[in-house]
Amino acid sequence: MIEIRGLHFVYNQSAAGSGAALKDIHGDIRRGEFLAVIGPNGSGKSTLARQLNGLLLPTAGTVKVAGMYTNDPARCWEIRRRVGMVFQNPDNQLVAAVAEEDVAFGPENLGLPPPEIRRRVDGALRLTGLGAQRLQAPHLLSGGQKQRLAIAGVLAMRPCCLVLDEPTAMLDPAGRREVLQTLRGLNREEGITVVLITHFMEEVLFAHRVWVLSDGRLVMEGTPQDVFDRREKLQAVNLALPGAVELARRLRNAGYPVPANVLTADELVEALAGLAAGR
Amino acid sequence: MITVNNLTHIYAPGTPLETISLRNINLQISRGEFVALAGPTGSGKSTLAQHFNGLLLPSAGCVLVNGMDTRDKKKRRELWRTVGLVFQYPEQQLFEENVFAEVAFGPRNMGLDRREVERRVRRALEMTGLEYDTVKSMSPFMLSGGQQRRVALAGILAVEPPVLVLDEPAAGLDPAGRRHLLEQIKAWQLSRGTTVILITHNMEDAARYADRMVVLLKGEKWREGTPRQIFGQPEGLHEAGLDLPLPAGVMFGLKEKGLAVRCDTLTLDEAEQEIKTVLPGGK
Repeated sequence: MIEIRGLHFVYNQSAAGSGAALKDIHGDIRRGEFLAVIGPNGSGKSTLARQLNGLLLPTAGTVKVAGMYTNDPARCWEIRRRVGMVFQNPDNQLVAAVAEEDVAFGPENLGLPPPEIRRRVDGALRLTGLGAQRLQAPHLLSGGQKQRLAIAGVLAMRPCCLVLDEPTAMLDPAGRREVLQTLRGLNREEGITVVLITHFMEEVLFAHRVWVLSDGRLVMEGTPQDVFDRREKLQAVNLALPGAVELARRLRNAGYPVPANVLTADELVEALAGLAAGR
Repeated sequence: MITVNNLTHIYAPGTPLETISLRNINLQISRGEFVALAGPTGSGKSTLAQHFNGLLLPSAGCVLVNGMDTRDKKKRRELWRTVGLVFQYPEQQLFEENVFAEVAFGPRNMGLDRREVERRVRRALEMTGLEYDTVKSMSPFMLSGGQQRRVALAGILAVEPPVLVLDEPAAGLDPAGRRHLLEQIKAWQLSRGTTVILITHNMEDAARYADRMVVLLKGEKWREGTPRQIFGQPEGLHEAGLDLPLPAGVMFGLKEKGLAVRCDTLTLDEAEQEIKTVLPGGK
């Protein structure tokens, strides 16, 4: 789906002292996968996200989306249609006074016939669970609903990949749950590739694969389990295990046979209840 | 320190958009207290926060800070010096050409001398986890989103106000940065007696740092108490859009499975100890 080869990126090369924001990144994002990207502030996560649909172009190396190079100007719009972006602040991404008009903004700009626009808008609102809010003003929606509306607006462009840059950072717990459920559904049922940038280690658990960035480099990759197994290496880039994984690890160290595949609070509760019952 | 008396706030009164965003709130916050203000989006947290320094004024009732009524225009300047407010998305307020000037803006306006300004800028930047010598000459606009947020926050911290009102200050910071910032604010509260009001969706932060929690729901005060009291009675929290901190959530799950554990564990250490009391075996 997306092939990254030797990607190197420097912001504003003329400015003295500005280092590379991305250094020698190699990696593939596979069609239909859910990839989480984590790393400290300033590690290059957002810069990488913007490389995936050509909002930023490589200083050296290449990014290829569905066979098209992002630095080929002739392919720019096609790449942006296929790889949709959602950002942290939903208020910056909503443009219309009515929810469904906001979703229609993209398809209208494609010059599609009205029945097709209607089909796409209805589909996108259904997939994000916003059918009942279709006629509401976006600013009256909750944080989670606004962010889902931003996702719907991107979906109406029929992308095959969604790139989300900390979409849950400003949401309350209920809003975070809504957005994550929406993303998991889109990934599982619609086969949409999801690239989720996050600081919440708990959100990493939903991913098939995790990339860890530090100082512009891709320093770790693997399944969530693989990454959590390398605790010291995570700590070296200032990241901690999710709470349930950490608690399970401590109990194992204290001699309790808690299984190594416990990742979530629910799994931990099941495992501990089993141990307490002598199972 | 802060007294909120029967506060009601109505947005756009007398128009079709009229909305009651706060209803009959009563609240006492003591000097030097660390209060976490929680509640789902739209519950009125930010609206309440903006009453603490007079950015919003009550539609009914009143807010007193250090005895000053926030509606008293003559006290406005003193009020602003007393209460430092950090909004969500503070990076939208960045405007200076380098990080030093950005953070020094407040202290300079207070008429402090050059050395004191520099001392405060250094300390504020370090509180937010930025290295003074690395960032001081950089343009704030060259920094990443999370780093910009830290600079904006440092701009308020450098004013060193007696009351700090922070609206999700750590959102978008990496976990280590979040921890560092909140530890620093906690240390500030304890060493200087700063009153801290932290608006947060992160229940683990509330559990770890707050002396007291106030939970708003639909513009009303819904629950109030120490984190242990709030999370020790988790019924209804989920419906109110809040999560339990993980250590309390795991214990509550075990309790529902019939194990005799207490649920008011706030840290992983406490949860670990409590689990060991009910599990057979171990070293």
